[in-house]
Amino acid sequence: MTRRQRVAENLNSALHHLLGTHPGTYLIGEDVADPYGGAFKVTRGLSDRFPDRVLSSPLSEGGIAGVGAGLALAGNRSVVEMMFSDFAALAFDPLLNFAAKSVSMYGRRVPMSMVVRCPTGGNRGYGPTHSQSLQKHFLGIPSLHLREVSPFHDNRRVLTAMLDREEPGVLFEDKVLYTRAMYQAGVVDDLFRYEVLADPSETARVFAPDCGPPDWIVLAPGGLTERAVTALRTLLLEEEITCELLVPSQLYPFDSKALLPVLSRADRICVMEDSTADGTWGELLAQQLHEELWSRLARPVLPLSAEPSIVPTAAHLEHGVLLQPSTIHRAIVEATK
Amino acid sequence: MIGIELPTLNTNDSSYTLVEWLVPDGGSIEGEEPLAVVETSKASEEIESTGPGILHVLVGGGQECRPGQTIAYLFESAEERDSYRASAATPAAASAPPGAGPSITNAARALADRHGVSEAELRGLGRTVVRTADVEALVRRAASAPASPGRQLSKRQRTVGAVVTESMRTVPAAAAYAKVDVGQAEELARQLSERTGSFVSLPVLLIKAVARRHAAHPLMFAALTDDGAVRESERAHVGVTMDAGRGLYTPVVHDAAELSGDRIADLLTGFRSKAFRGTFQAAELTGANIMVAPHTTEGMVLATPIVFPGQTCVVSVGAVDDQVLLDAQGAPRTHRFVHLGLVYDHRVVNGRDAMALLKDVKEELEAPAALG
Repeated sequence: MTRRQRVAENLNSALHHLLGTHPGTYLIGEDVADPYGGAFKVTRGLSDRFPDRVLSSPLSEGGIAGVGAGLALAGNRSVVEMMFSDFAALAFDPLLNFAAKSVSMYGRRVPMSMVVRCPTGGNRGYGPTHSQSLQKHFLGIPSLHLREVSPFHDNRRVLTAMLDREEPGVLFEDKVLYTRAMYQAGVVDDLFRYEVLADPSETARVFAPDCGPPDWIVLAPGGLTERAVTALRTLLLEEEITCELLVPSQLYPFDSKALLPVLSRADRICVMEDSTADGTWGELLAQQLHEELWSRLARPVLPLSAEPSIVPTAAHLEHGVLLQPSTIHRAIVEATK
Repeated sequence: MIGIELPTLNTNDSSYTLVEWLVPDGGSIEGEEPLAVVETSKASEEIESTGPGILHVLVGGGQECRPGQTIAYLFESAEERDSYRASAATPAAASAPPGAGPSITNAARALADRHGVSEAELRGLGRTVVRTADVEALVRRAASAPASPGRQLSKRQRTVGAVVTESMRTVPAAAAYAKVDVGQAEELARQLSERTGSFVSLPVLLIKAVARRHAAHPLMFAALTDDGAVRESERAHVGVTMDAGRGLYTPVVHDAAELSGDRIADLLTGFRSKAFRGTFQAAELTGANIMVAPHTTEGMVLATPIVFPGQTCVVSVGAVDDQVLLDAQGAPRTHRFVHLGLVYDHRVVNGRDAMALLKDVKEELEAPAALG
């Protein structure tokens, strides 16, 4: 039995592939060079192999995002690593006002192949400054696309697709996932299976076989996979509420129309995320889905987010702020009544 | 036997990979020495033995395992390990390995238990998840096809089944019926109820009436023995069939001829509550030498019960039926009738004996003064 690849290893091998196959590809980030290999070891071994194209920088998120955008503007491909997603706020200006606009503000379309990788999210006790999920702050910027790492999506394919899009993109990587294994061969665990749909967001669909049309369809980004699957299990076995989980690879733009045949199989829909409540990806989705499905939904789309709070350091307080399997379970049971 | 648990090697990991065992399964360990290589997301680490013993591997190389999981046992000797393996073989084979059986929802499990659906039947569904609807379908199928092995009868009903089968196999039964005017008996029952506060009913008076004719019809209270003889009984112990929804019971009114109507009524009330709860004591269910089977639900006319093996006859009574008759003066009068049935073992008695008892009981009920 071969060992399943961990998500960090999968990302690492994807980066090796990108730099190995495309000579114009650069990687820039804080302490990404060996032997440190990045805070989460995702860039391990890259600087040894590609010393000219793996650029280790000091703390300078705004600067390296700008350099990445400049490289893209000059026809190269760039991958920029934020050591922690929280500091992507420092890169907001170069992304919003330079990289994303450069695609279309020069009178002709300019290819901008650039990915900003953002180790995201909490549940690891890193406290208010290293635990946020900033997806919502990057939503809705023309020509800036957002993706999130999941255990279902091979990152070689994800990163290649992002760079081939020739628009700047942000890849959110839930830190908890790094040490988790990638799912393979359509199997999540003893109870759940998955398939990857052919919609533009390459959505993974997790389901319990033999259960027919589900009571709920739950949409969640990749970082919530483990917590969502745990909740799906208890909902099914303890409450006999059947849920299917949809995990898109691409969060924005999100083509909900392409998923309508799948979404129409349930009359209850839940969207969940770890961004703080209000003005979120889930709310955008809920609005789109109300538009499309309102006449056949049994209740309004249920939105679940982290509490509108900073992320505390103390584990028990952090636990209460971020979405947990028990929170998801309770909310869905309540909304099923 | 000492369990070797996997320590927490990296707090960020929910699972590790057991790369390889450094000591073969069943191998001998001298003391503190490396046992296995475990890989976390950060590093590979060796797990060491805390002492000597014979290694028994539970998790193979290449498999994932969780912090805290027991990955092996250490036995003091090879013999101890062998005896563990021998004793563990059966339960290990009986309990399904993880992933082999279906996941069963709590509600489905409860329903399956309630209907006596077995683990094998649930597994036989061939589903990954078994839900209530699946168990319901299984129960429905079992109910519509009683020949299928699906649904178990209750233990109580299987006992009844054995008794009636034995009866049908061994007792050549015949039956006789009588029509009895119970107007006076009903009036007596009403008076007795009022006077004593007990619930005196027609079956109560019937039990007493039957018991009072014991001396005149000893064969009807006799038990047939193997050698073709009969064993007569000294006293009338009258069994009563009773089903309060939890299966059939036949509690016994012992020495019924000696009991007053209200005393028999109280006994029956107690029996009914015990039948409802299923709390009879053995003595209350044994010793009957004749049976009374009330079928007094409104509209019931006749019933033909089974003669219990070891008894000779059973008296049934239907519901009361109004009938208008002309009296001696030609005036219409309403009469209240029941049908009494008597099923008997034709090996012991004949129709003549049956009709004689029926006639006597009819007399008792139509002139019931002695039944109080």
